[in-house]
Amino acid sequence: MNRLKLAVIASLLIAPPLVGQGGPPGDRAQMLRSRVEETFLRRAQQQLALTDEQAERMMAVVRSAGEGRRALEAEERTLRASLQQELRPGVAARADSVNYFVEAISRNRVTYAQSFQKEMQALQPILTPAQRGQYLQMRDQLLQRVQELQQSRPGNAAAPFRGRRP
Amino acid sequence: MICESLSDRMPAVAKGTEAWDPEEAEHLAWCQDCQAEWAVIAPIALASAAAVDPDVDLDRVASGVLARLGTSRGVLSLNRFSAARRWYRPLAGLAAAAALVLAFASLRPDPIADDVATREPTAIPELDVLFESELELLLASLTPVADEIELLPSGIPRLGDLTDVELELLLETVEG
Repeated sequence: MNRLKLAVIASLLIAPPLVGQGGPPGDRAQMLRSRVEETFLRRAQQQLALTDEQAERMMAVVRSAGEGRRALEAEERTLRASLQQELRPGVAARADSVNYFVEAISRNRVTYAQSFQKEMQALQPILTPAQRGQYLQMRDQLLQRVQELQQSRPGNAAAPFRGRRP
Repeated sequence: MICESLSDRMPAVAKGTEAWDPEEAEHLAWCQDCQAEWAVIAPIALASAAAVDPDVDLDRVASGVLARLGTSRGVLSLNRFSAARRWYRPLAGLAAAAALVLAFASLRPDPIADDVATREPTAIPELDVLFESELELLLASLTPVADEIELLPSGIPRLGDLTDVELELLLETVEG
């Protein structure tokens, strides 16, 4: 029984960090997300040397695009869950349903990528070409960092990441 | 060791191609573990013989096996299966550990689980997938160190004054 006891003790030692990770949903997570966003946009305003008018107009565009992408992500999560339900082991999948979900997920991903293109197009009359290029680079770096954080999780238990660079 | 020897010979004896010698017969007379195994093995061996002997009643054999399995459940122990026990213990330990880890891991909330729709409007929805600790690290990496660390009068901050997040950021900076 010694091995069993050791295994149980080891499990208990491993488990607390997982539980202690905490995480959204929660007020603190929301507060942190807001602070990250504010800090990022403030840095963008400084580095791109935006006027107040430019910053205000840019903010409206990126918030609108962000909300659109969040809706697309929610839709894909729903579609993926439905597909997973169809493909669960031991149950015959319905071909029509699987085809529908695969097509819908594919469409969703194309729309998601296009949303970046539309965002950049919407920023064109607001920012100079250099500012637009700088913003693209800044956002890519941020998304890269988000991806790295997910990949560095214990066991690499990353949630599905949609922060692809277009 | 005679238990293992009996186990090996049970199928042949059950089929009638071999017979117990006196020592084996005496052992089988008192060893409850061997009796329990014999009660299970013998009908199975007979059933396999049915493939070449159509006169054997398979239904009757099956009923006998089920009946004996039912009555011998409390008698058949793992004590005799020494090889099996060598596998059983570490496997049981690993299984228990895995179950516990999974149980605790399942307590970890999914960052995008349920409240995304009610969250504040965002320009960066990609942040939705991060946990608090990850958001702290990200925030620290976005915040210039000079803004976060209050310098001592001498101008040199003490490492002991830094938070975990600041130390991690410093480590990343040093490591490049």
